[in-house]
Amino acid sequence: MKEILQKYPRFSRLLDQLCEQSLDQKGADEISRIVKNDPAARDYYIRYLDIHSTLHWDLAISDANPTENKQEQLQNNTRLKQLVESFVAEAALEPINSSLTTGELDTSEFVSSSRPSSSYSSRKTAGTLVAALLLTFMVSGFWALSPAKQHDPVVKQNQPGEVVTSDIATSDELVSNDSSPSPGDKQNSERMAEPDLPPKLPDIKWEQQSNPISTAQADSKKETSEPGSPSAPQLIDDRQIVEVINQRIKQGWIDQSITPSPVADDHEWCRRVYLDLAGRIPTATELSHFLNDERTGRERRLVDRLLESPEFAMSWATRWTNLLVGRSPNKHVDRLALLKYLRHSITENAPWSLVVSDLISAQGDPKKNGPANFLVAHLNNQAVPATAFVARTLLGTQIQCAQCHRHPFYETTQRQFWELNSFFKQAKVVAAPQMTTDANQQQTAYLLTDQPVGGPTYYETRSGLMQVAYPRFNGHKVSDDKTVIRRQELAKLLVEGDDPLIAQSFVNRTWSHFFGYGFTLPIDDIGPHNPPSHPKLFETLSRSFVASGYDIKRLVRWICLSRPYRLSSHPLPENRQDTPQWGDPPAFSHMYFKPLSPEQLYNSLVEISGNYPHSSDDWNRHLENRESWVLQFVESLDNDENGESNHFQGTITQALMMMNGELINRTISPDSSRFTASLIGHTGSDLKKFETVCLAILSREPKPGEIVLFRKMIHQLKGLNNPVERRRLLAGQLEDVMWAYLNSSEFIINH
Amino acid sequence: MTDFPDDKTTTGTPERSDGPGAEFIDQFVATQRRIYLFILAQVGNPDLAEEVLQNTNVVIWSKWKDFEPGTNYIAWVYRIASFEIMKFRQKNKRSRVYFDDEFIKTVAKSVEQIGEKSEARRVALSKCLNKLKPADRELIQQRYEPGVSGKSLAEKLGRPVNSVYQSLGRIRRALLECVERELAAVARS
Repeated sequence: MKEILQKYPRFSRLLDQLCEQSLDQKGADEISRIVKNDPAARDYYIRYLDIHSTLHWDLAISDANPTENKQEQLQNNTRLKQLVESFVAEAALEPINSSLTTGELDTSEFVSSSRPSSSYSSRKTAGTLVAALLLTFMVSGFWALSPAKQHDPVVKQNQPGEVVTSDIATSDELVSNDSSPSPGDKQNSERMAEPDLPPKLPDIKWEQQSNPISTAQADSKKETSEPGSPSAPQLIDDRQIVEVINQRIKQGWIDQSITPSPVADDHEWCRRVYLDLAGRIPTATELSHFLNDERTGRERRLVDRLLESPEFAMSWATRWTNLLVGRSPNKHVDRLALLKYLRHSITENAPWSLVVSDLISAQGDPKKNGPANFLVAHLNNQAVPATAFVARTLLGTQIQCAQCHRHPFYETTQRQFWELNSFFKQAKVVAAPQMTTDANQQQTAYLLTDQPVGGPTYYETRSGLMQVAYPRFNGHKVSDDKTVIRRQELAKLLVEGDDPLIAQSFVNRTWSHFFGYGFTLPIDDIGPHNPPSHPKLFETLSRSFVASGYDIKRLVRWICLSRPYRLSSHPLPENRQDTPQWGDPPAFSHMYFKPLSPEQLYNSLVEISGNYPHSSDDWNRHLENRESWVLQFVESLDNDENGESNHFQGTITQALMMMNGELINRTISPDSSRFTASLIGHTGSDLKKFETVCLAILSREPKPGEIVLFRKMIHQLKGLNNPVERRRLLAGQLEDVMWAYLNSSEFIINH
Repeated sequence: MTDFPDDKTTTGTPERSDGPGAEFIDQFVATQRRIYLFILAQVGNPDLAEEVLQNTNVVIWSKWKDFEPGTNYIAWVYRIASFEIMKFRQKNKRSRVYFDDEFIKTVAKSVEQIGEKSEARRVALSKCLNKLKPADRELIQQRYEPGVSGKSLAEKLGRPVNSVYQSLGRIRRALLECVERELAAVARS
């Protein structure tokens, strides 16, 4: 069923709009097109509407609750039948009103009369309109007949932790909702197992209550609707922050009655942390080094060591380069210069706020000044992409649609978009002829500059009216004088405050790098319309991140040493429901699968083959090769937002590359792979060689079934006395095993 | 439409034979839900679907004598409903027509098939409602209370409309997944 939603990504939103009656004609046409052309989608459409219609019917039209109990349902039907019959009888006695016979029924009247309060009076006046009356009762249900249920019924919930199995329990405990302002409060009070507690709980317990996941919506509502609520603490002690992560996430499990998966075994965790921090899988040696470290605190030591390694700087810089300028080539953009700048920043422990300032205000030649590449890549089209990119990647908000109209979900107006855009009004890429050492050659450099222009930015509203927007961000207005360099002013505004958007956005992205999902879905859509899964934790982390001086490595350390990050990726039956890809807020009850990025995959393959770069020259070559290899999976989208798509994860292109791409060949063939060559040349036990392959590729010991297979293969070698032939066969076998492992989903997923 | 004046002539305690028989009423009651889905899938809007259902019911009651006992009741009713949908669409041609004719035709055909499992699906759905997280169940119950829309619910809860829409969509999708699983499990056992 879910394939349909993946096939038509907009379908589920359209169906929701249909159910909530906010669908426009364009949307209806789109549904129609999908449903007409694809029988599977048609099927889904009807089944989905069946849910909607049954809920509507059972909860709104018929009785209070759809009941599983057949008996009860039959009774309902019996009562309905008696009613029908009595009206049929009644109708037979009454003179017939002419309106029925003419067929001119003003149906809208009956729709309104279907409200419980008026159904009795309508009964009197329309006594003759059998069918209509019948409908009135069908629509309002019996529940109109029982005065106890007339005011909004709210079903009281069972105690937390208890799996609700009986529908009688839920329907029996009808209480008026006068005293329960929000579902969150109610659940909180139940969690305390003190149903008599006043809805507003004492402050001292507030901290403890306010973090559940399942009630994320209610929770955040609470935070926004109670301005007096204390903001999350700014913590500075590493251990304390890790403890807060553990507690908050655990509270979420309790609230949702989810059992977390057990702790991951050491192999699994070690592979994970290498992929996340170093951007590649560990070598067999590195793995055993970690496993044989018997002193306490080995996780911490490994994380610290990786954080200080050049590889962390490299992989972090790679990820952000992709986020900031995309992977597609752009002749004015020097990706490697940006990458170098970012790598340098992380090596030097530069605060994130400084990086953001650099990205926003950089000037000069992008080939020499790395951060300048960010805006150079997006200044096209009146800096509209720049505005959208700054908002999305650095501020975690999606305002691109406000370019043309008011944001549909929250209060971002078109003016706000253009006010942010106005900060880029002066930015301009200019061509400058440059003299090279060779006097005969002249080169042109493209420099990012700020032109001395002032005044507002002009934009057009939907009605065609021209409007002006002055540079303004977050309520701070900046002079539009031409002597003021606006980008520098914006850089200052962005880093102001205890919990600015750049911190929230960075924390959310970083968290999602390690867990596969951030606190919000999608990660770059933070705002009141999209409450985070763990609002308090999110706030604590971002405020603490600011308090730490935007220390990137410390933020990473907090996450990597937390308990949720240590969990296995194997879901239990008890936490299988925690599947954020279905759109639920994540509970982080097990590690979610993360497909390897093209860069992680490339690095890992090169590392397996034993050709991983060591010197900086090697690195430059490695990067260039990687860039061109990755490009085969990337396609830029020709849209206003400089978007691009990659054909990497789980596609046929990737599968083909893994099956018979040249890189795979190089990884496993003894001619190019030092690893394979050394295995063959080594004089140890053959079984050991196969085991080493497993450790090197999957970072784990082979399973019993695999060992049986290995033994069978080795058995074929037994009869061979000719050493050359034996070697050839062994090489073939090892290559086969490597090929099979590389093509397993276990390998291409970070778990 | 001339059936009712006949009834007028009877005096005293009405005879059952003068109205539709018990069997007819049984079938009428038992199939309301299916017809509602049938209509809703084609008009897309619950309020309008109720309106069309009312019109359909009026016709059913006025034409009950046309129905031959022993023949397929639901097929007869579907025909009436289809006709009412058509009439309704013609009447509202300019204002609220959503879907094109071809859409209506293909959907009508498919919905008849799925409607056959209506009762099993309803039972599965009520099981699934009980499997929801308490907060989700409450949200969905509040949403489908009479007269409540997603929008008014959002106002009541003080939450942004779109976030409520998102939550409701997520819960409905979860319910659908669950219903299909339940039905598959029933089919296996």
